[in-house]
Amino acid sequence: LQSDKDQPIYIEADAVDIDDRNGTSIYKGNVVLTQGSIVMTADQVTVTQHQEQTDQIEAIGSPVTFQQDTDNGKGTIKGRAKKAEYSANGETLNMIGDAILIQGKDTFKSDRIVYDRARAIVKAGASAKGKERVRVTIGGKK
Amino acid sequence: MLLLLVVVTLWIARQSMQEEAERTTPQHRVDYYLEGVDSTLMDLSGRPSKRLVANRMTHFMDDDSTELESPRMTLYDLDRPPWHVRSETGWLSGDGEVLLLQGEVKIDRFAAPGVRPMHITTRDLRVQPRDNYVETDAEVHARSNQDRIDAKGMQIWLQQPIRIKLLANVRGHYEVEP
Repeated sequence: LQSDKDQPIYIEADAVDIDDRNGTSIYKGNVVLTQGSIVMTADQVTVTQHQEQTDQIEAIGSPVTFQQDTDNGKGTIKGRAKKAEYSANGETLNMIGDAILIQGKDTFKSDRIVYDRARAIVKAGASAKGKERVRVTIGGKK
Repeated sequence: MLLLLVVVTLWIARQSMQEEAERTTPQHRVDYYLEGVDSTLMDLSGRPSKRLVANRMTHFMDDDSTELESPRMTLYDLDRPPWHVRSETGWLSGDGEVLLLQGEVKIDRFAAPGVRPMHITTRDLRVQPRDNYVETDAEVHARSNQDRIDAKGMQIWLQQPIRIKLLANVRGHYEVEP
């Protein structure tokens, strides 16, 4: 949802390592992050906080899963990747490594997907390793 | 008459056994106490490293332990504001290996330019001064500005850079500024 990016972030995990000097909190083990309608699951989520800066979220998993409801009746967006990064109040979600995003009947596959989580739009799928562009399956036809 | 004699004899025997036992097991006895204690430990370069303040320190002869009333510790942290640790009571083992900070414990580090404040509330902290190590099994509530993390169990390594690990049932909450 458009409002998701302004919602508080809740994170549940088995343990957390707080590195006070670097401003990082590394959540480990069965990590579930929620922010508004966003639900992300991962093996590890790192929250990086610096004074007067937006919190940075980085999730690593096998895979990281992501889902979010959309405003415009497009249903729920679902995605997964080896890694996902975003700014707490930012609009862009970077999905890196075997990234897949499913929006209704459309499926996007690439090793990097940039998703606008405020407008529920896939912005780009530039391949990080230069070998694979976005492969789009429209309408779910096999 | 004989029965009475036997009972009295038994009673006297038990009394003297009890007194003997009291004489052989040392009583937990105070040999001195201090009030308004304020002690600072310096590091190798002569800078303050740890400071311990207590309303009262009571030392016991038999096991060389020390009980502390309202102990307050300050842990200095290089170029950042110090950490302040306080609890209701404390107990220091005779060999100085273990310091128990009992009851409610508050750990506070105030903000500074580029440094976020940190306030932790928990209970019954076990400190190993020589190993610069702290742990508890109790509930932990950590706050920094509007963010907070709640959990059960905590470990802190005081050696620079200070590291804190929360051990179970971790729940983080981060406010987001639009």
